[in-house]
Amino acid sequence: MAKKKESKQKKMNVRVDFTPMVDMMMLLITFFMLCTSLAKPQAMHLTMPAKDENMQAEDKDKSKTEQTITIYLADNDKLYYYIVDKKEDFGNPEFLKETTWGKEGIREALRNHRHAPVKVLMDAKMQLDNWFNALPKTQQEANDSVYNRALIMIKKGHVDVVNNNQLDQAKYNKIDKDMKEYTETDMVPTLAVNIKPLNNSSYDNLVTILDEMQICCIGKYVIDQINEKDIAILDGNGIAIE
Amino acid sequence: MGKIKIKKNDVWIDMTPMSDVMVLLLTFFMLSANFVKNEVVKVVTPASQTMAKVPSSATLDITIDPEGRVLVATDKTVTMEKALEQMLKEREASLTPDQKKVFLASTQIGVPVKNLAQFLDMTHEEQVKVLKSTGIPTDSIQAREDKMSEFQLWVKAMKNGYKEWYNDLDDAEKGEHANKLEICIKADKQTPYSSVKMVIAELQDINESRYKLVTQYKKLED
Repeated sequence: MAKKKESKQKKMNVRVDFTPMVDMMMLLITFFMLCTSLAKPQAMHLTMPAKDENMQAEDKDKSKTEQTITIYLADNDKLYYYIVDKKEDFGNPEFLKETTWGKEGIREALRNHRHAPVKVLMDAKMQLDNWFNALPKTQQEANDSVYNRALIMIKKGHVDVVNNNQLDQAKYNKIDKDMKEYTETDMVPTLAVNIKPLNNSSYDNLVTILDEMQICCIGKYVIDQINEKDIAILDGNGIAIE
Repeated sequence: MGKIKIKKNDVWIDMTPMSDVMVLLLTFFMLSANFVKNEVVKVVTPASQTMAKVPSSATLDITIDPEGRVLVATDKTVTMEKALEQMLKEREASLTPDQKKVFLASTQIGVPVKNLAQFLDMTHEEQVKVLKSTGIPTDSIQAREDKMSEFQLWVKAMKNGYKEWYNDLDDAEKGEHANKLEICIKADKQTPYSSVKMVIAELQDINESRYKLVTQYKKLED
């Protein structure tokens, strides 16, 4: 009897309505989409010299005058650079030149510096990048430290570490060994940059010029305070300091 | 004439594939979620073409707004708690447990320690208003022998707080965390250089000379 009853059971429709579930999912997704920050900000590394009273003024500036450029960041996003060949000339207002931001302006001035053009370094870095990017993905991770080391070499002026878009392994090993033993030789002249932001310049200008140092492959740069000579230069050109 | 018979269609749509996709998307967003911190004082950071990312933890954020006001923050509650204890001791102030709870829930520190108790008793709206008009004092405290400013004390307290927490970890856990707090300077595009210079000078005074400048990525124009 019981068996018969069971077989007569009506077939139930087991279709479940998913619409409320989808509604809820939509809400949750919207919440997560709005509350997450997918793009993380970039970090630019900056190392300032530690304050040391024992450091002498002469130690500070070992670079040759003709291989140095001084960049002044002024009010209203204005930008000036100063190049002199002889140390005695430093302070003469007439060598100050105004320039613009970006490729046509300051980068051009750095690229084609009379005594230490960074053009060669940028070219070497491009070749290094080409070599690195041509490597298969698995090789890239293994060569990451080599890439960074080679980049330091280029910044120091060892542009011959790359050749025809390839890393010159023998040269790399030799320079690496020399660098560890402090017996480096054969460098192309590299530019030293003094960045002197005035008090009325903006932080944006500072970051932009630091970024330019990365783009131009410049290893030697320092953010410095303005001194009397700088004031004389700026005053002579009628630039407001405060 | 026969009646026109409209056939009733069953308009049931199968939602299963849609909900499948939804679950996938939801899982993705949940796993990749790092929540936007609700910072009261927000700054627009400058752009650079640097590729390196800001570390996701163990950071000491120093915010400098366009008016030159300084705020500090750190991502770990333990560090905040330890830093707070140290600061209260240094500046001879005290907070009730309730006030401490409010303090630890906040994302930025931006009032002098002597006003902290009063500040924490305020409603959220009032706190926002106060945070936008004060800042951590950066002038050196004349009564102190080392002439440190409250800002420097905060930086030191946070660094020490993190170090203490880190030193208490097991060796296995130590490997997963950075061994010290990384100083991230987050200043607005419009912040005058003089304010940034002052903050950096104060940091140099306490022998902190490595920083990360927080920027947004911008592609290099050719």
